[in-house]
Amino acid sequence: MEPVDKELLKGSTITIILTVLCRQEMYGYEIIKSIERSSHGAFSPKEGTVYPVLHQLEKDGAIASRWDETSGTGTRSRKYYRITAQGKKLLAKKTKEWVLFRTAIEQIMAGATMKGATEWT
Amino acid sequence: MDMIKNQRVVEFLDSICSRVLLKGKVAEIRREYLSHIEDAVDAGIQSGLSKDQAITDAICRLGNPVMIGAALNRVHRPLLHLPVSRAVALVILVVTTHVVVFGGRAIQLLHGGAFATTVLFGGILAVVLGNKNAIFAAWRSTTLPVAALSGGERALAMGFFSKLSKHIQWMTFLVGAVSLVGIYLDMQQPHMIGRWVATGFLANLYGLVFGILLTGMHVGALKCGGRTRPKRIRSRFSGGKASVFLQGIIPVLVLFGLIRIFNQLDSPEKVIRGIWWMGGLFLLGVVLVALLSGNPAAVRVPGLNQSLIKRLKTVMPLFWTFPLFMTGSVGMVLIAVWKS
Repeated sequence: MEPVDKELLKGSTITIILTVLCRQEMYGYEIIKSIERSSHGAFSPKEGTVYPVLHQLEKDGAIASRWDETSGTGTRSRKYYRITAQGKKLLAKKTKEWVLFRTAIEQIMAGATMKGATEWT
Repeated sequence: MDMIKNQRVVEFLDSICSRVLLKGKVAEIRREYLSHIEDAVDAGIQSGLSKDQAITDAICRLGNPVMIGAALNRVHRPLLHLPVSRAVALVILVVTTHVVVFGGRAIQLLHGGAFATTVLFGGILAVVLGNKNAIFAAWRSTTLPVAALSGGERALAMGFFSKLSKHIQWMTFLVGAVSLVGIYLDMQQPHMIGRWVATGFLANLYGLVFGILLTGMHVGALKCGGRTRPKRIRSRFSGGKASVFLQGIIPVLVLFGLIRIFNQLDSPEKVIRGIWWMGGLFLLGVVLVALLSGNPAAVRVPGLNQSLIKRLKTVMPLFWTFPLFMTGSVGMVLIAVWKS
């Protein structure tokens, strides 16, 4: 699938990350790959920019983290993130906002299509 | 996969970390991005890329390090940060205002020897941390120009420059303003000295608490700044905010001791008493930090599970400052003898 315009993705990054973390605890690389997989490649954020968002969410209390020294191969350590109760509330709010946004966009586009169709006939 | 030594990876991580001002966070950020690169390179090699190509691909997918660093810095902003120019401007402004408003007694209102203390403090840090840049960093630091001010100005400056909540900022402003008005009234009516002691004390206490906190961050920043050593990245120990806070105790105690001694240069006896006082504080600080955190000069410190002897050993480098302290003390006694 063609990657979606980054500007479109920007406003939804928090919702996407929290949704992915709702499924299970994950580390940064895993989160990014999970987003890519679930969206069939449509959402492919610049990987480095995901971490500042994760850190901000952690600072706001929406997610919590822990370092795992034993995971991975050899001496590799990974920082695992998990969603908190506060994060779940935020996700519910963001999801509601998204549904409203999507409905509004669909309505505008449906209106435009109808108008376009009547103009042709 | 030893990415930690790869030149391109090191440069990329350095580029990100150099933009993060809250240096206490740098090691963790570095470790997280390194872990990401290691995973990405592994995946690249598995998909058939050469190691070199996989590294290029991993770095490219991460994006522009300058933008990443800037984004991280917006999240992990230090409580207080002043560019050099603003710090210097602040000090000049305060000194000028004092001279204009209080005339001949201006210097008495600033903490005696505060500027000399700043230089000396930088020297001490340089020795303690084995970092020749420390003396410059001490000047660059927000902490020291602010700490050099007297109680009222310190509170005002902190209120103005800190990234604290609006409520704390306003409270800090209020404490500073009340204290300054109090000092001014005392100057107008010398017989009323003492009336405003409470406000002055409050402002100083406020300044002390923030001083400890901010100086702690400053020390952590010096130790952690620039290229972080691999073994520090792998360190499993974390003293967290408490250890960073504790690191600030010793420099602040030394700073206050020096201020006291500088204020008493008119009598050799007083200077000697001051040196004893400061030496005691210095030792108290060393022992306190040794007992509570383990290593005053590192952000990630050994935890409390270490034996006392081992923890005391970690603070041994601090004693290297003793010859410096003694030389300064002898100098100050000589000045006092000459003056008297």
